[in-house]
Amino acid sequence: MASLPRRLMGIETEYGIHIDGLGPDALVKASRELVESHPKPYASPWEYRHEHPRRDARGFVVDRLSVDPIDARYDQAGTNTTDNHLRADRMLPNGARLYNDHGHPEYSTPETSDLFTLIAADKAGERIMQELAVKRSDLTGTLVSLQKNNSDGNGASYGTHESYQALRSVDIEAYIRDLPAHFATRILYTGAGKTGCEEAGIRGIDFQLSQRADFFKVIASVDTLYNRPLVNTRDESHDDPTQLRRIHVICGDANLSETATFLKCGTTHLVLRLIEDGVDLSHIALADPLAAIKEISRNPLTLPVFALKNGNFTTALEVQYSLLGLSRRYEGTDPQTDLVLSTWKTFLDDYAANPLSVADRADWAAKYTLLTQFAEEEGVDFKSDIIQSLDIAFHDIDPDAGLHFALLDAGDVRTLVTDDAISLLMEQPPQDSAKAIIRGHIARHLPDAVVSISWDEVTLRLQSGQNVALTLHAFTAVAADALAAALEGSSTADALVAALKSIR
Amino acid sequence: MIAFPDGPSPERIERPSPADPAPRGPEQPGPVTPDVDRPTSRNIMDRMRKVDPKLGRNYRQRSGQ
Repeated sequence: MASLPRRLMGIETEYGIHIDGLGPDALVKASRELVESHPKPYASPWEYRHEHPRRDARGFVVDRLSVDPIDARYDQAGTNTTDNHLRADRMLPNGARLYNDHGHPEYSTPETSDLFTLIAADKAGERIMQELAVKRSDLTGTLVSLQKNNSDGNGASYGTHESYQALRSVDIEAYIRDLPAHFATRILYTGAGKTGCEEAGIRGIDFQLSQRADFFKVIASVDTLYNRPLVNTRDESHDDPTQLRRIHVICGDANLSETATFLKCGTTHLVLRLIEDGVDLSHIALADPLAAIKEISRNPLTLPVFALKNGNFTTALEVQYSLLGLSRRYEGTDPQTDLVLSTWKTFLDDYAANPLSVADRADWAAKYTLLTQFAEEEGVDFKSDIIQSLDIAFHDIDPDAGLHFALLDAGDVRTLVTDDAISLLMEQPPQDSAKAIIRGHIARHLPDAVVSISWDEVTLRLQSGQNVALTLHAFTAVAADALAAALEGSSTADALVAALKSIR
Repeated sequence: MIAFPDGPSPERIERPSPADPAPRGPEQPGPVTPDVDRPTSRNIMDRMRKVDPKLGRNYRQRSGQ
């Protein structure tokens, strides 16, 4: 079977939340309250029956997931609240999911196969979250700030995950075998930058490319909270499980740069195509991907040399050039693919010539440049309290406080989507995803009829009292205009179910 | 470590695939410090000076996924 020329993708971001005086033990409640401040309409409760965090795509179910022992201490005095109460899960009218994930307000974009729409949806998430932070600040009289980052600099990490629709017919072992080379080396453009190092026993690191590299312990597993893997093998399709799997990527950083998001998802889509097409990537298989990602991350301005499985040595740049060269077979698929290829090449060329010349595209380079200038002007070093604080402030999503946004205002960061596109995605689902369109319609117009909702299934209560479960991927092949017409006249659950049945 | 090359040669991405990256060892020359233009916006530096220097020390999060 040929690779997917387009695939649905999404980005989930667990935001950092900071309220002066509150420690980690209080953040679950603070995060829940922030999520709950989202105004109606929205659809809930969430249906957790479709979530299988312990089910491994390799064909087994693990008994339990690893838990961070330090973090677990905060849970010992846990409340008796149900999952739904604690997580405050809700589906928004734009097809996005908003909830409290373990003390982090999480925004999951709706799925789309269009990279510009994905960037706009991710940026829409930033704005929705900032609106909630302002609302909570006004209500409580205490500043609530949110950071789009993945580390507190003190050993706690939280994720920004990508989801990619992928072919079920391709053996999961192929993804596990071939993805680590890309994941370890793409941090040249996906890295959000971080001062210091959070791996025990490692000293002398002033700055590194990736927020997350310190936290990976194994190549593949279903774990996400501890002993994190480079390749997450959780088996949740969120679509037709007989045809499609979801590649759930947990090793990426939260990006504020639109170009970084474009390259992160655009290149990974192309690498997935290479894997699905059975292209031989053995020449870039890394001998030790976990060591490589850390070595690359900890040497942002140089090119560490690391070993390949075949006994040769290489660099992150060479692996990326090799993947780019192989991906050029997809040139001409569509204009967006061509733009990914050209943007990818330009980035690598520029990085090769001068690593900091990519500061207008890579978050890590923007941050490093800013911090270096500040450190020199103020006569402080990278281990000083103020530099650590500026690292956090870089990711603040308040446009009037965050350092990324100061760079944006100064015209020092490239953008790819318009304000109008972002505003639109705050309100409406991507128009290329039937699943998101139906979820959004129900969240906006029929929230009171919802018995439960999840990414691919909504159960509605009809006027008769009967419950009807709608499997959303069944409508993927329906023409957009037919779907729009069906939804337009559906102001009740009964009407919606009848209309969807008629077009399926 | 190896130094950055002057720039990638076009054949690097044009070469037939799959192709092995050139075998290399750690005996290559050391890193070079890049020459970089820096942002000059006073507004950004002013915003940076307003950041609470204790933020990093007080910033504690739950471990997540």
